[in-house]
Amino acid sequence: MQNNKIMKFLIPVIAVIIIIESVILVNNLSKKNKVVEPIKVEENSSASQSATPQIVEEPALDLVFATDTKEMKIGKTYSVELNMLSKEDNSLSVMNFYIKYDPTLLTASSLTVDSKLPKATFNKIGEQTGIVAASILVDAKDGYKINKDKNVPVLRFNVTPKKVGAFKLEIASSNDSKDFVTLFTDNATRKVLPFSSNELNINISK
Amino acid sequence: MKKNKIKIKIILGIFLLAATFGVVFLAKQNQDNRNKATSSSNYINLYLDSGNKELASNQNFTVPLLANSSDGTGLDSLVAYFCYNPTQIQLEDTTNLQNSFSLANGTSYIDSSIKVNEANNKCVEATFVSVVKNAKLATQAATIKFKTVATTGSGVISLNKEKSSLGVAGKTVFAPDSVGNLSYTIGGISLGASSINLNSQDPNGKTLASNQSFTVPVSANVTGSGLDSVVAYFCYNPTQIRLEDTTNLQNSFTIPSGNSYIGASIGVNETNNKCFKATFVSVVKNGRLSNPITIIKFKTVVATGSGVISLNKEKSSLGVAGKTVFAPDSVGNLSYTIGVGPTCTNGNQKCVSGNKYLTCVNGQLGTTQTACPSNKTCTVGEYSTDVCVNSGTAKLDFDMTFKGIKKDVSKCASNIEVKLFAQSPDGNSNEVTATAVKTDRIKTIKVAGEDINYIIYEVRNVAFDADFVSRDNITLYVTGYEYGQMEYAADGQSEFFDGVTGDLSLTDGQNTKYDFTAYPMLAGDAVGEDEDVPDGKIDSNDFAYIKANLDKTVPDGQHLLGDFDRTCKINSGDSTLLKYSLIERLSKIVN
Repeated sequence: MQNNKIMKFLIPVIAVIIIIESVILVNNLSKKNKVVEPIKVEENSSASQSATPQIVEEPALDLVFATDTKEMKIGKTYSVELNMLSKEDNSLSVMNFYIKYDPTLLTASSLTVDSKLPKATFNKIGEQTGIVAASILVDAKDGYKINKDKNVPVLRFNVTPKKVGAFKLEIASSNDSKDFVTLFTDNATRKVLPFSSNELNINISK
Repeated sequence: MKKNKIKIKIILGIFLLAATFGVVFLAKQNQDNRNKATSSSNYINLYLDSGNKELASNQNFTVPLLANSSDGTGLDSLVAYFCYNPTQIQLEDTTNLQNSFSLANGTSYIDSSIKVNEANNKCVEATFVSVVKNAKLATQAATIKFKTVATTGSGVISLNKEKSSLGVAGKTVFAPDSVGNLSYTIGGISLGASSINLNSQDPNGKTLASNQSFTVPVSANVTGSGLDSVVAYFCYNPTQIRLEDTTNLQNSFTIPSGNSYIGASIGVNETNNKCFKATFVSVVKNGRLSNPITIIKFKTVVATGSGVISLNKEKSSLGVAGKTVFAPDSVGNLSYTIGVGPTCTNGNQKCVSGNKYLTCVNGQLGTTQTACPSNKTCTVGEYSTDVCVNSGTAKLDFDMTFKGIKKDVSKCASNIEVKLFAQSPDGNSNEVTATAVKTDRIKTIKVAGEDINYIIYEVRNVAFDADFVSRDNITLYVTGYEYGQMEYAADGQSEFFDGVTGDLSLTDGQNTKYDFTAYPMLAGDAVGEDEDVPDGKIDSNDFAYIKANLDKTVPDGQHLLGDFDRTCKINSGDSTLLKYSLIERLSKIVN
């Protein structure tokens, strides 16, 4: 009888202890998850790495590379196009295009600026510097008008791969060089317009 | 009962008997053992302490005399009768024989005498007893001191068993059971080159700081053998360095395990040097010294200076066990410098105030100031072999033109501020500002088949700073207000300079004149990215500004930002000038 009394006392006590432990355990697990999540977010968030919050402007223009294939053969020549898509109605006074590439991997040639664009002030391929350059200074008083959502071919050039591997074509910005800055200036305000661009990644095989 | 008692008594008796026999047996056995111990296995032996039987000529050597009883109880007396070849070796003192024996503590020398000449051998009978009555002799009761008297030869030092004897207290005097003789060889030893060297362990090489402790390991070598003793006699300048402990000299020597410090003494004063004679031997009998023999601990006692710790070749010596002691073939000294390391190249100069300079001596800048000649200027802050250069009297004059500024067209043309940056291949450069003054003169240049009359501007009396000492191979970079940077490198230049080294020169006391009018400055720098003032670059910002301000005008004679051709109006001409400049610039960098 006495044993039964003890058992009657112990069972609830043990049950209470197990419940308390369970609560603590679950609580700790949930705390752990809360710590991990922000870390992943921080690591993947470029915004969170910046000390001061930055106002990101919506790009006024998109620059898009186009080519027939992303699988190229050494020694064969392929055409690459650069197109410009306007996100809104714009009037431009300056259009500077600088495309960078690795001159050890490929040869760039036959640069032409689309004939529907104002005449380029300067266009040249820098075979040593690995730069395809085209600068269009628009003399027209009202600038070069481009309507919203209109896709405009800008320039075309050829690439001939020299080595097996992977290469990419990308738009050069002020992060790359102060000499080769792709930019677009609004004709009326003289402000530099924000733009976005893609990279053209190519695989080269024999 | 009675029978039992008897039986008990019998048993007791048997036990008593057995006990008695047992006691007797043990006593007897003990006595037998004692008798056996004292009557057999006693010995006298001789051996050379070095264990090396190779002897050199005129070499002193010692022979311990070892004697004992085999049970270890010791001896009360010892008579050693030994013989040797007197044509090869001799006792050290044949006149007073006692001087040829070193006695152990507790041993008393009784007598020795030269006995007989046996087969050309000289024999000595030496008697030793314990000093204290009933006390025992030490196992090594005495050491016999010999010396070689021949250059070559071999022989034996032999103990005569019958004529030698041992004495045990309370018993008798008896002959040893055995004796051990010693054979030897004199000469025939060939040693190679020998040396003692000082090395530096100082972490900064041999450059020492003031009041710095430093260590100097001593190494000694002889080809073909090890060493068992080294005497290093070294000297140093006591006004610059000292042993760390000159009171207890031993403290100034670190002795590696296996080596033993015997002593050091202050030697003579040789040409203001303090000298020490330090002796080292092997700790282990018959062992060899290991290198470093010792590490001498010094400390510097002055702030600057230099000197040498030198080994005296004649007063140093090396010892080879069982052979001889000889001077090393060579010694290696150690030079040192106290104070900071070289901070300048000897002979170089450095300017100080007052148009004077200091000269580098012994790696340090001296304190003596030397004045530059009156017609020369010290190039402040520069190390050079000749810091006094011609004073800045060399001046530059040049004529120039600006793209777009033309006679009869440019009504708003006026003087233009220019920046001049002179550079020479030796790294000298200097930037000054000047004013390009408009003249009535013109420079006619044919452009696309058309003669263009550019207004010539004069820049005069350009004086560069005194520390721009270059006089040849100068390139001049000119930037004008609203005009991009141009590179002028030769007189009469008419196009872009593509070379490496300029060809302009300056002459002291003269104005050297150049003509750059055939290569007009490029226009197009109206504004910067953020402000409407020229930023030194010609770029699309400038074009946007021109476009935004097209047809803007000012009255004649006034200046209008962006009016590159100075026509008093911003028009397509300015835009064209800008584009031309951009093409020029991009053509150079996109290649």
